[in-house]
Amino acid sequence: MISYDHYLVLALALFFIGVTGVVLRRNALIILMSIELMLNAVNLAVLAAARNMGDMYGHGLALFIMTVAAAEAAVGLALVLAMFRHRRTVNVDEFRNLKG
Amino acid sequence: MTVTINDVVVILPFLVASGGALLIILLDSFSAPRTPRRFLGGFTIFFLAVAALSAYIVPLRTESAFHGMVMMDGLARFLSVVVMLSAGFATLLAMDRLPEQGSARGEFYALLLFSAAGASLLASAADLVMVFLGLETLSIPAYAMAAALRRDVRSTEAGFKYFVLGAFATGFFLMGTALVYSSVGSTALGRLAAASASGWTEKPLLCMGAVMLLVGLAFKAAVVPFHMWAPDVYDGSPTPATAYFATGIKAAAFAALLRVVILSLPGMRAEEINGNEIGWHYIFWGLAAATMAVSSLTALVQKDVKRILAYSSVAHVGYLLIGLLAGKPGGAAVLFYLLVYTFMTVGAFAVVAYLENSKGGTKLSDYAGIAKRHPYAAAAMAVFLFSLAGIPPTGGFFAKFYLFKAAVQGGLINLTVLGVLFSVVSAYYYLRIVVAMYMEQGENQAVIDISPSAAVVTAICLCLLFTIIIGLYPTPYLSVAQASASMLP
Repeated sequence: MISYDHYLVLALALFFIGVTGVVLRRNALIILMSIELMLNAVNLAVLAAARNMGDMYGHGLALFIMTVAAAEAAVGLALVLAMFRHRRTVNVDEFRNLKG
Repeated sequence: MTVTINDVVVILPFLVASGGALLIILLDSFSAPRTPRRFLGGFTIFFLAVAALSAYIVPLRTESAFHGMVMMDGLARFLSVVVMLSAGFATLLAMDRLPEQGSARGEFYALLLFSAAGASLLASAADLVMVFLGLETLSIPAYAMAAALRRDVRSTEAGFKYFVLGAFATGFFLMGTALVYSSVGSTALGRLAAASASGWTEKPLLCMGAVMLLVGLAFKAAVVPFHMWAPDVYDGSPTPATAYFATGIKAAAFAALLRVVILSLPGMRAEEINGNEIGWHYIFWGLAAATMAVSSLTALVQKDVKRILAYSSVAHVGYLLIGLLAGKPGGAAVLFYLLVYTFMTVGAFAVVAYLENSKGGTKLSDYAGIAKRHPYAAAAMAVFLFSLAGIPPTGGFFAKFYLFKAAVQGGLINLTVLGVLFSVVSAYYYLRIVVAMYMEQGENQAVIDISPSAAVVTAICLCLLFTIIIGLYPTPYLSVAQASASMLP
C-alpha cells in the first residue's frame, strides 16, 4: 500500500534534485528546468496531501502553481534569450559583469 | 460561491492598479511608434494615487473576504500605501531616465503597476495561497523591470540573476506551503496560527514547512545569508527600478514576514525542549545580527554608489528584523521605519538618477567634487545619507530611535547594542560619499551637463520634504503607524 509518506518522500527527493540542479549546473536552461522540477515536486506533495485529506483547496493551489510556473517560465526563457543575444552562450559563469 | 460587493471592495487597490496596468498596455500599443511615452508616466501616477486613496477609503474590517482569502486591515492599508508611494516615485524617475536608454516603450510603467498591485494583494493576504500569488504578481514584473534596458548587458544580467534567485526562493516558499498544508490541513493563516499555538514541536512537517517558508521570504527580503543577489541586481538594474526594489518590494516582503511569521506562527516563537531553546525568535536573532554585520562590513569596501546603497538597504533589513522580534511596540516601529526608509532611500536613488541624467557615472570616483557642479543635488544627497545613517534631526534618526526603543522594551538589549554599533559603522560608508562630493577634487571637470529634468527634481524635492518634516515632527506619522499595527500580537 502506497501511503502519503511515500508521495512526500518522492516529492522531497524531486525537490532537492531540483535545488541541487539550480546550485550546481552552469547551463541557464538546465537551471530553468531544475526550477520547474522544484515547482512540480511541490505540486506532487500538495496533490497527494489533498487526496489524502479529501480536501479540495489543495487542488486549487496546484492549479495556481501551474499557472504561475508557466508565467515564470515565459519570463525566464525571455531573459535567457536576452542574455544569449549579448553573450552567445547560456553558461552562467560567463554572466559576470556585476561584481563589487 | 457568490462574490459580494464587500469582497470586491476589499481588493479595490489591487483592482485599480492592475486595471490601470492593462489600460497602459493598451494605450502604449495604440500610440504612434515614435512618440514619447512620458504621458504614460502621468497615467501611472494617477492610477497609483487612486489605488492608494481607495485603500484608505475602504473601511477597515476584521473579517476576511473571498472565503477567507484576503482582508483589509490596518497592516494591509498602511503597507499598500507605502508600496504605492514607492512605485509613484519610481515612475517619476522613469519618466526622465528610461527614454534616453533605449527603452522608451510604455511597458515599464505597466510592469510597475502590476508589481504594485501584487504587493497590495500580498499585504492583504489571509491565506498562504494569496501570499504566494501576491509574491509572484509582485516578483515576475520585477524580473522584467530589472532587465528593462535590453541593450545593456548589465541590466539583462541583473534581470536574469534576480529571476533565478527569485524563482528559487518561490520554490522554497511553495514547498513550505505544501508541508504546512499537509500538516495543518489548511492554508488559511488563521488555521495555521491555531495549529501552531501548542504542541508544534511534535509536528515535524509543520516545523520543516515553517523553516522553508522562512527561507523563501528571507530570500525576497534580502536577509543575510540569502542576500547575494541584492547588490548585483540593484547595481545592474535601471535606477528607477532599483529605487522600487529597494523600497516597495522590501515593504512587501516585510508585509509577508509580518503576516506569515508574526501573525500566523506566534506559538512557534520560542520554546524549551530538553534544555534546548528553539523557535523562530532565535533564528531571527541570528539573522538580524548576521545581516547587520555582513552588510555593514561589506559596504565599507564598495567603490560604486549604487552598490553602497544596495548594501545599506540590506543593513536596514537587519534593523527591521530587530523590530519584528520586539513584540507589540516593534510592529509599529517597523511600519514607521518602512515609511521613512522609503522616502530617504528613494531620495538617494533619485539623486543617483539625476546625476546619471547629467551624464555622470555611479562610481564613487565620479562623485568627487560633484558639489561644485551640482550644489543642490549634492546637498539633497547629503541630507538623505545623514538620514540613512540616523543623524538627527532627520526622519531616519527618529525611525531608528523608535525601533531601538521598542527593542529595549522588548528585552532585546544585546541586539540593540549590536544595532547601534553597526549604525556607527554605516555612518562611515555614508559619509564616504559625502566626503567625496564635498571635499575631493573631481578629475573630469569638463563634463557637459544637461538641464535638470522636472520629474526627477520633483521626486527629490518631495523625498527631501518628507525626510525633514518627519524628522522635525514625527508624531502624526508615528500615530498612524501605531494605529495600523494595532492587531499585531
